[in-house]
This record gives sequence, structure tokens and C-alpha cells, in this order.
Amino acid sequence: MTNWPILSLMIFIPLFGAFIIGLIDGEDKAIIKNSKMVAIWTSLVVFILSLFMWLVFPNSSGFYFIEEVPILSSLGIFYRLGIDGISMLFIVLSAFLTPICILASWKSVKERIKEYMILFLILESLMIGTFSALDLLLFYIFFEALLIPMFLIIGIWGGPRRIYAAFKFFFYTLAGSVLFLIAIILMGYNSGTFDVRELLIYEFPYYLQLILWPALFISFAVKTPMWPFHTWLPDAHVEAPTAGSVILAGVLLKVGGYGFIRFSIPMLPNASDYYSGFVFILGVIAVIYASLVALMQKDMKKLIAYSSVAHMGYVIIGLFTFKQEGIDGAIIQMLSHGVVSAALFLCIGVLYDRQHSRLIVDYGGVVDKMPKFALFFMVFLLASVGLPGTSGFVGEVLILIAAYQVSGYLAFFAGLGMILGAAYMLWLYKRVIFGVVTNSEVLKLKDLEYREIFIFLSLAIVVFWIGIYPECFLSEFREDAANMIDNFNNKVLLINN
Amino acid sequence: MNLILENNGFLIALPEIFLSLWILLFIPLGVYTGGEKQARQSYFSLYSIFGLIGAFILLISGDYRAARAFNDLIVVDRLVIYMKSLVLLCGILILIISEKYRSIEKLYFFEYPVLILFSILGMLIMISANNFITLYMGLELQSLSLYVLAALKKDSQKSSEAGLKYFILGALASCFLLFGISLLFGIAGTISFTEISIYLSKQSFDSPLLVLSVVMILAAIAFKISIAPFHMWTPDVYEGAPTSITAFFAIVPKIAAFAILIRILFISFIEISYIWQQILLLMAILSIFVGSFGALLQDNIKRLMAYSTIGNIGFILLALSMATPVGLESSLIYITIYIITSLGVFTFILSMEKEHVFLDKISSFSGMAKSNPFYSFCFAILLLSLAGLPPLAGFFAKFYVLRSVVLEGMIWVAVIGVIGSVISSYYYLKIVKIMYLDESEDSLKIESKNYIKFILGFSSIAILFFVFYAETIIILCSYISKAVVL
Repeated sequence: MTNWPILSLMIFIPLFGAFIIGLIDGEDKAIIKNSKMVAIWTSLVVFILSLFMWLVFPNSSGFYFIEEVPILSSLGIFYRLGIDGISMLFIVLSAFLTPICILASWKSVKERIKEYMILFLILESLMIGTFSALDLLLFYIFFEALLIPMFLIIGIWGGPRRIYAAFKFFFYTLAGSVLFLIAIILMGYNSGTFDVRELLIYEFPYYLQLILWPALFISFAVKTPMWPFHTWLPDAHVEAPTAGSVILAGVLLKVGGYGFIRFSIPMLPNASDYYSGFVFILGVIAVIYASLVALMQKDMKKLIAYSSVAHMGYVIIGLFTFKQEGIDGAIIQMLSHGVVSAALFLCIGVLYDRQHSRLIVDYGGVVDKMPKFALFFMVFLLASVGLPGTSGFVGEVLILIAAYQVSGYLAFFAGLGMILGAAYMLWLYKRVIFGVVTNSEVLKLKDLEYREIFIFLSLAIVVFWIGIYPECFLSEFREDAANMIDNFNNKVLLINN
Repeated sequence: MNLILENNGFLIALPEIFLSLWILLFIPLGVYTGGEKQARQSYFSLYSIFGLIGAFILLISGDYRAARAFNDLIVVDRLVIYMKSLVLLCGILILIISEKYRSIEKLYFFEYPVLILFSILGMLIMISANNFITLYMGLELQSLSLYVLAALKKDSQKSSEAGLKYFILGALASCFLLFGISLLFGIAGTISFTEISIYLSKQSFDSPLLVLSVVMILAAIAFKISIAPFHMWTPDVYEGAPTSITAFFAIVPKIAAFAILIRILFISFIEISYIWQQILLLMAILSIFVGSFGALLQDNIKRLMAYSTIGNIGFILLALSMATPVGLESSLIYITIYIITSLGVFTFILSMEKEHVFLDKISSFSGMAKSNPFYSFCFAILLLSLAGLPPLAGFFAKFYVLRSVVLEGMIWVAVIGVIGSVISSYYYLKIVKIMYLDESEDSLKIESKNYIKFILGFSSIAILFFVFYAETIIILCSYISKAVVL
């Protein structure tokens, strides 16, 4: 069953759906209704396919669902897809979040709905492509192409400073990733192949690794985003429409972390080892600095955006410990953050839809009017803080264990971030949900409707599922991670001896 | 020289001979044909299009083997045939897309197509030149026609200025070329490309005179292709000339000039590549930066396209400056993709008309995406391809060039190239932003004939789905490049 072209199906079904939406014509009302329907059904089909893929996915390490079609055979560039346990879960995450985004924008998006749905489906297809590409150049094509729909989503449906934010997003990412292109060419011609599977076992010369690593690092660090390359993120998040923020925080940020796992660490192990101290410093700064900045934010979306920077800092620290716990924790943390931050952005979206403000001061005492909302908001908030039993806890604990093995100081400073995280999140909750009602508008708020409850419930289930029984997820990629670490240790020891 | 070889010579030059006879017939026809202006215009365009089609058929039905004729004055090989077909096809398409512009701007006179045909004839001669004299004749024939074409809008001050500027600077460049050729003749005693190559391969030559002559010849050609630092005329001429002529300028002469540049560099001067490599590399990097910074603040789409052309040509030059077969191949791929893209872009610009006024301000495109989804989508695809975003064709073009640079180990040059490319993507994206993100009260509604829509749609689809046929183009280009580098 593992040789079905299921990955291509998941890439091309959304594109086909987008094409169908493009053909829809008629009265305005009919267009809106039909394009929403096509979009939601297409994304649901993809989601079901992804669940099916998860079901039949073998637990042993290695790549499955391989597909190979030559694109530029004279250069050895192929349309080559395949997934291992790590990328499989990211694909499920993307396929899970897309229908949620479409549902979440059911009513809040009012203009150019047809184009909106088309762009989301294209985005889904490109995200799945990015995680399943097994050819360096194909990965780059998907990775870069993601910019175009995201640029348009922020730019067309965003807030007042949307154009500035869209351009900033675009140019940060583009400028970051062009060096990656040169690195790809160098890697391809040094090893004679663009096949990721072969590159994973290929050993690049030490000096070349030291050159290639920064090129890859900048590209992924901008995407992740790591301090000091993170400044595009708050702007992009604040201006993007809710669903745009969800996809940005939920999936696009993970592409950076995925890049580190898939390319930087296994392909350039000696350089990763060499630069790991530098990465730890950046990671610790990201965690503490972003948490402090988050503490002082007035805009809720900006606060969540900075918390993303802090959480991704953990991920990077976990990855560069090169320990089983660290890598497992980082992957779980990415999945958890994908769900939790998506949910938090949706929560803010719910408030924004009702009151058209994201400022904390405009709220207070929301619990009286929206008790159901307050409950869900608390669940996701505590998951973000890392309360035991929620998804955030698993990842953070594993990462801290691994960090402690590397250095006590590293664990201490990373742990400091957790405390700060609790501080800004709980303070946010206190100011928005509790307290006296100062703004009379709050009294007019209506509680969640069924559509929203459905969205939040499905996200909350995943949050508790990862928190209570992470084995379901861990078992999928444990062997892949173990394999990667073995490989890493072999290569690094070889040089060091 | 026996009779058979002479006949062979005429056979090889058949497209040129046919085209010149066709033009000679055209002139009395143009003078004596009466009737309504509009009808005459379309009649003459049709006549010239048929002439070009005839030349094209003669060209592709000929012999593809390499051959030389008229005492080695002209040469035919795969590169020549490919470049000539590009010139002819682009000439035909540009005549088609400029119909509407000409009727609205009242450029009815029959001299317009005649001059276009003359310049194309000059280019054909230039492309098959195997001797500096042939090259010079072809070059002058095309340049003189182009000078007049640039100044064709008699009542427009800008157009006259453009023509004059182009003429003075062009004449200067021709002087450079002649000076370079005469120096070369002094050194090598010959001006035939092949004989120069033989001469240079026999002895290692390192005289400053040779360097000077190479520099002079390169400068002249650089002027014709608008490579920095000889690009100053480009934005003014592009802006001043009638838009349909700008479209012609941006595409057709560039093909011819690149064909001749490739022939001179890779056949005559290949032995002294150490001399021209650095010059070319420097000019390439300069052009990429002039192209990317110059366009940043432009609001005139024609000026912007002028800088965009300079930047793109910088990339082609970057590949050529590697002086390797891979570099040549990549530059041919880049030229091909660039031509398809620019044809689409100019088709778009030439249909941007509102109440009989052609719009060349970028800001007037605002909010177009709502009123003209088809046009804006096609144009956005072309712009994003120029910006080099995957999976569009422009990305692969740049990828190939960077690959040829990295293969030579010049990683820093590749880094500079991509930095230029990122900067230039800003202004392409800015146009996309204006079309898609800006709102406007009275956004324009474009109407044009179906065949124009077809050309625009075809070029953008070709760019969008490049991945699926990339292999074919690459095989074609490497086949052609083998004609020059063995």
C-alpha cells in the first residue's frame, strides 16, 4: 500500500479544486456559495486522504510512498516525492488546518471570496508539496512558491498596513532563501545528485559544510523565524486575515524547522556541530527576548506572534542538542505549536469578528458574555504555556531534558522562558477575559456559534490527544529520528577522531 | 570559385535575398496604393507579415548543415538558423500586436513596415555574418532603420529626442566598432571570424593593441544590446519611441546582437577568452545592478521595462562570460525564455488603452485585477517570472545561469547575481501589488481582439507550465550551442 501515488493526489486535488473554483460563474451569491462549498469539500477530501495515509504508514524508518518522474533528467532533477514519519505528520497537520481555515473564514471574509478560496487551496497543495519533496530543487520550488499565495492573502485581505506587511514578509523570505538556491546548486554538483535520500548519506567535505551551512541557516532561520530575523513575523501576523495567520503560524513557520531536520542537521552534520553553540545563543535570546517583548504588547495578535518566536526558539534548541529527546521534543513541539497557535489566532479572530479590535484594552470581562469562548481560550492558552496534560508540556519537557544533557545553563535559560511564557499568557487572559467591563461594547458580544464550537472542539481534542498520549505521534517518527542521530554521531565522530 | 559553390551561396542566402526583393517590391506598392488610410495600414502590415513568413519558410526548409559562402563572408549553422527564426517570428508577432497601437496613434504610413522589414533584413545579414565587414553592413542597415523608427512620431518632442539621441550614440558606437576592426586587421591581417580564430590559436598573443581592439568591439556591441555602462540611451529611447517600436527594440535587435556576440566571442576570440571574460563579467554585474536599482522608482512602464531589459541582459552576459559550453547553453535558454516573456509583457502594454490614449503610467493599472481578471493574471504571471519565482520559467532561466556560474567555482558572482535578482523582484512585485492590492474608482476596462488575447494567454501559459516542457527547450539549446562550441 505504500507505493500508491497518494502524495501526488494530495498535491493535485487542491489544485484541481482551485481550477474548478476558477471556472465558477454566475450570480454573486451563487459564486460565493459554490466556491466555499468546493473549497471545503476539496480540503476535506485531502484531509481524509492524509488520515488514510497515516493509518497505513509503517512505523519503521525510511521513506515511503516514493514517486519519481523526471523533470530535467539531463540535470538529474526529478519530481521525486516520498515521506518518512517526520514529514508525514507535517502533511497531516497541513491537511488538518486547511479545512479549519476555510471554515474560520466562512463569514469573516466578505470580499473576493472566489480568489480567497483558490489561494487557500493552492497554498495547501504547495505546503504538502514542500513537506513531501525528496528532490532538493523540487523542495526549493515548493518552498519559494509558497510566498506568492501568502503574499496575496496578506496583501488583499489584510488589515490597514497590509501592503507594508506583505512586502516585508515577501522580501525577508525571498532574500533569506536565495542563498539556499546557490547552496542547492553547490550541493547538487558536489555530490552529483539532487536526491535527498542519497544526500542524507553523502558526506560533504568539511570546509564545504562550513560554507553551505550558513546559507541554509539564513533561509530556514528567516522562515522559522529566529531572532534576529523575526521582525517580519509580528507585522505579517497583525495584518494578515485570521486564516492567514493560522496557516502562517500553523504550517509555514514549521517549514523552517523542517528544513533544519531534513537538510541542515543530517546533510551537514559537522557544520551543525560546529555552529551549535551559536544556535543555542540565538535560541536562548529568542526565547527570553521574545517573551519579554510579548509581555509588553498591547495588540493580542502581536503578543501571540512573539510567543511563536519564543516557542520556535525552543524547537531550534531542541533540534541542535542532537539528542533523541531533543529531536522528538522539537517535532512534538512544532506539531503542538501548529495546533495551539492556530487555535489562539482563531480565538483572537473570533473576538475581532465581533468587535473589530485586537487591542487588549478594548476588552475585559468577556467571560460574562462569552463563557464557552472563555473556556476554549483558557485551554489553548494553558497548552501554549505548557501545562501538563496539554500538548505544549510534552514538547517542552523533552526539549529541556535534552538541553540539560548539553549544558545546565542552557536548560536554565530555556526554562526561564517557560516562566515568562506563563506570565504573559496568564496576564493576557486576566486582562481580556476577567476583570470589570470597561468597554460597553463588550456587553453586546455574542457567544460562539456551532461552527466555531466545532472548530475549537476539534483543535482541543488534538491538544489533549498530544498531551495525554503522545506515543501515537512519537512512534511515527521515533525511528527516523534515532536513525538520523546515529548517522549524525557516526559522521561527527569520524571527523573528530 | 566554381559555379556549384556559387549556387550554394545563393541557396544559403535565400531568405535574405527573398526578403530584400520583397521590400523592393513593397516600396512602389506603398507609393502607388490608394484608398482609405486604415485599410492601407492593415494591407501593408499583412504584406510585410507575408514577407516575413516567406523568409521564415525559406529559412527552415533549407539545409541545416553548417556551410559558408561568398568567400566565407556568410555562414549558416544551427545557431544562425535558430536565431534567425527567432528574429522572424518575433518580427511577425510584433507587427501583429502593434496594429491597434498604430491605428490609434495614426502611424499609418507605409514606411513603418518597410523600415521594420529593412531592419530585420539587416539583422538576418548580421546573424549570418562570418566577417567583420558583413557584420558591419548588417549592423548599419538595422541601426539606420531603427534610428528612423525611434523618431517616427513626428509631432512628439520625446520621440524626436529619442531618435536623435539614439542616432548620435549609435554612430559613436559604430565608430568604436570600426576602430576595433581596423586594429584587429592590423594585428591579424584578416577580418574573417574563422581566420582570426586560426590566427589567434597559432600563437599566444598578448599585445595591448589586441586588448584595445577587443574592448572596442565589445563596447560597440554592448551599446547595441544596452549593456551597462553603455546603457544610457535605453530608458530615454524606450520611453520616447512609439510603444510598438519600443516592443520591437526590446526584443528583436537583442536577439541579433546576441547571436553576433556569441559568434565573435566563441569562434573568433575563444582563444583569448582570458581577455574578454573579465570585461564581460564586470559588465554583466554592472548591468544586473543598473537593471535592479534603476527601475526601483520608475512609474513609467516603458522606462521600467528598459531597466528590466538591462538587468535580464546582465544575466545572459553572466552566463556568456563563463566562456564554457554550459554557459553558452544557459545563455541560449535564458534568451529564449526572456523573449517569450517580453513578447507577453509588450502585448499587455500595447493593449493598455483607455479612450484612445495609451497608458504608460504604472499607477494607472491600479485595481485592474477586478475589472480585467484575464489581463492582470497573465501580466502577473509574466512579472513573477521576470522576478525569478519558481515554478515559472524565469526561475529556471536564472537557475541555469547560476548553475553555469557555480560550476566554474565563482560562488561570489552567483551571490551577487541573486542579490540583484532579489532587488529587481521588488519592482515587479510592485506592479502586481498595484494591480491586485490597490483599489481604484475608475479602473480601466480593456477590450482587444481575440488574437491579441491569444498571444498574451499563450505566452503566459508557456511561462506557467514551463516545467512540463523544460527538457525539450534544454535539449534544443544544447543542440544549438554545440554548433558553436565543439
